[in-house]
Amino acid sequence: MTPRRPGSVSRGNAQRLASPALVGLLLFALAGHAAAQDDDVEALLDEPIVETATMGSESANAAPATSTTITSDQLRRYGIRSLDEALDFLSLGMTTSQPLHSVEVGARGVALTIDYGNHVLLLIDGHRMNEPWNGTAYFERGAAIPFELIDRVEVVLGPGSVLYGSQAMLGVVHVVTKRAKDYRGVHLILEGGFTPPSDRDQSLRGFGSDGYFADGGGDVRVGAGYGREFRLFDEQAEAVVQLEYYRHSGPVFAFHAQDYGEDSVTGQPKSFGPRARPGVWGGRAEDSYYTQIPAAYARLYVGDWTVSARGAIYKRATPYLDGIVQDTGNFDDPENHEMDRWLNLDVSRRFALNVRSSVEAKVYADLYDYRWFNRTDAAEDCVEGQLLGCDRLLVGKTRVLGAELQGTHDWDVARTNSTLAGIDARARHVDSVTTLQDHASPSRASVGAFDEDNLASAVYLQHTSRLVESLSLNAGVRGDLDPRFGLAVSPRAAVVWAPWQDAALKGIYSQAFRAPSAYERGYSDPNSDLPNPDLEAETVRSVEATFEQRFGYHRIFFGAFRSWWSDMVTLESLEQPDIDVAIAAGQLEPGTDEAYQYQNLSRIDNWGMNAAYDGALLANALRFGVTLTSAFTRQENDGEAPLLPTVGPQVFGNAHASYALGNELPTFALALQYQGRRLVDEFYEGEFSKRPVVDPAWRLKGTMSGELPGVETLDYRVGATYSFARYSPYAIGANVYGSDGPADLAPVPRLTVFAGLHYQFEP
Amino acid sequence: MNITRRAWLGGVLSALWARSSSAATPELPVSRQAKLISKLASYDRNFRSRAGQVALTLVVYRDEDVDSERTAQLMLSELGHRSNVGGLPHAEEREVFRGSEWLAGRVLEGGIAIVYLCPGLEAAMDAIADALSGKDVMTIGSRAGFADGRSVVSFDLVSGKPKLIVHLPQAKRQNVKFSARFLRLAEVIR
Repeated sequence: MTPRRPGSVSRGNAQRLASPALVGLLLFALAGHAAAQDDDVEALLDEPIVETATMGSESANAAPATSTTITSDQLRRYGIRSLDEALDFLSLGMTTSQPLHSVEVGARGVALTIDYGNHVLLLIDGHRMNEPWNGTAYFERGAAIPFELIDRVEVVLGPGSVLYGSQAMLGVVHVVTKRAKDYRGVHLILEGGFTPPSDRDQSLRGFGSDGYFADGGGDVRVGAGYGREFRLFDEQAEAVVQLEYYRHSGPVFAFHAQDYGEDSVTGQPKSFGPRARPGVWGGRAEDSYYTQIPAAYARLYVGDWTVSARGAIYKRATPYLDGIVQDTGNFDDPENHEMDRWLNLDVSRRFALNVRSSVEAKVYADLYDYRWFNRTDAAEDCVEGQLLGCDRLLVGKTRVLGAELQGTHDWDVARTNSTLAGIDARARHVDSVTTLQDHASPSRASVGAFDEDNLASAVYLQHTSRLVESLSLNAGVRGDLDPRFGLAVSPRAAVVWAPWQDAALKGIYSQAFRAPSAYERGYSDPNSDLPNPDLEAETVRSVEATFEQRFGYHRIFFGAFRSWWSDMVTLESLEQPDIDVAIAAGQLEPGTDEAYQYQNLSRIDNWGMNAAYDGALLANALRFGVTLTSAFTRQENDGEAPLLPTVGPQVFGNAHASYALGNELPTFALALQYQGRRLVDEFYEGEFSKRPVVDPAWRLKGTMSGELPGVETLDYRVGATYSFARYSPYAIGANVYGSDGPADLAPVPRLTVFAGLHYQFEP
Repeated sequence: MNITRRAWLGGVLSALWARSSSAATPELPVSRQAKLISKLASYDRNFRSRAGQVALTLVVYRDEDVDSERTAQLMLSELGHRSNVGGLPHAEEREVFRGSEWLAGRVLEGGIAIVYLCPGLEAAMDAIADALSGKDVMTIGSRAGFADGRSVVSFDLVSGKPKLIVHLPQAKRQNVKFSARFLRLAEVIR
């Protein structure tokens, strides 16, 4: 018998999961087919209209993509408080992992750790949020989208570069905000939460125990918004604006003490600052887990014109060292933090040229910067001569000015043939530098400085043809010309067939890419990092086949997919001969024996299935849904054996149900998330006594919501989120890359209770 | 390269400032509206007696409004794909809006079961509702804005889901009597 490689999952497991699901769904399909003979208004009212897949409004089952629409009503009913919760509890095929700072998004079994949302394109009202310095997009609170303003979230699975360009590899998450007609009047929001503390083994402390409230975590969100329709310049106009401030702090975490040993420079026990014993990392982290997010969003429509503006700051601190962002730093130092700041502006105008053609012109601008501040008292974390440590500040800045022109043409009145074409060009400026301020003197060192100014452009073309009432084709291609890597061509072809009423069979081929970020190409440190201006774009190809059947309020879905990822960028540890060459070229300091460089080395092979069922009973009072994704994924570096990827689960899903009692009585909702066994991020690289994995994880959320009796315009919701899992798949601490014992893992806040009020009135 | 950049930016700015008539497209795609119209008519208890043998829909659009005309053309095409409207054989006509009294006169000529109002006519909807009060016809607005002007039925899109808005007082004035089952599916203005 062949021994199993660490972390391997047999094909049989995936097949055992897929087969019963397939049979069950086929049975549902047959039942659905029978029920669908009696077409009804309910089905027509319940099937979502989506716009992300083709940049045009269409029925979800006609769109050339697999997508989920999460409505504002679902967000309220299920007590959803951030984008990652929406993906985890309500979407199909996407899931997130939370290392207590930026969540990492995975889809269909592929998750790329330390990617800062790089492989999912985030759009807010069509405006791309992934910035050009490091491709970052946030999906936790850091998305900084005033939450009550969200009309819906469209989650499109699979490669989507055909219309959107870089980053849309795992999928596209499109947040669409409300129009004034759906957000009239003044809105005041107040919401808060409490996270009880846990013991060192992550079991919940007893209620009211010593320090229960002092050690617990608290969060608060206040918001104010306004929406109004009016006439301006003799045109129909509307405006929506919302301001929001979110703050969270705690809970206190008790980390195991990790003996680190000596500082390699001083030979003394390494210092982790005044809150830790020399040579030891760990203890109570009381002040180093917090988030602060002020955000504002405004949208103005006047006739054909639309103006959108967004400003936000996302400041947060992570309470531990890890292998993702914070591999140095004093223990529990509240000054150690990351901060992002955005200013986004979008001006567009859409108008019809004639009854068959229309044009949309858009000008957009982004200002963004990122700051990572890290204080360490350890000489080995700083540059030569900084024996008492240093304050490290990494700053990345971007400026973008772009313009896009898009036209659509219907070749006949019935729109059986429609073409969309567009051209997009953006001028970008990126600069970045890391400074290390010596603790012992005013001297300051700078490393990793780079900047770039360039123009990226793209053209895209998409044609949709409805051959007959039940059969349509969609074909498109986009070419992106980017001085960072050259040309990327992203085609998509899809056929959608409705074999009978309310059913849809789809076959889709699509490609996507991710441009290497300026940081990956340009970051350097003469002591440790080499730049790589020759990085190529990552690419993914995918084929999928899906079946969907609606019958009234009920829908079943089944899909199978396969994807091939190539030229994936990984941070590679260099061999000594390469280091010697770099030293000879003056890129690394003499004597350097450990150095890293981003390289296109990795490939991923992935296949699996998605399934979903949702519906409603009891006159739509009871609504429910369940999704399941099972995947088989292998990641392979050049010359190495394929391995199961870390962090991302291969089996995951969710289930949710809500019941509205009606009248002034509340709505009760339960949502459940499941993630299968996951390998810890340092599973392969870390040297521990046992290779670390986390067990299957369940998370449950219960919410009660409704209108406060007697006050029609005052909505409330109260609820709780409970995690059965104690740890997430991230190794933490000073010994993040190895120790004599087992790895310490990132704690998961076990329980959060929350309550919120939303008051609306029209002056 | 600079010339190319300038030409490109000039093109976009020209498009931004180009003269055009005001544009407004329905929130809910016309294809879905057509499907809903073909079904919802049967929930009106007076529909069959009003329509007679053939359900005639008059699609009215605003003159010199490209989006309005585009919607009218599309609605005609989409309704043409429906096998029936309210369970009856059907026919459609398309006309430029010439005023609320003209519309009332067209309805009085007989045979019109549904008046479908294209974008751009929202401002005239109040007058249309006054003119059609006491007449036997169902008015359907292509956009949510028609509901404020008392269209019997209006289409909207909220959170990516289609929404029906029914103006019940005006429905009574125009002899439209929806079943309780249908009203449960709609937002009802009472």
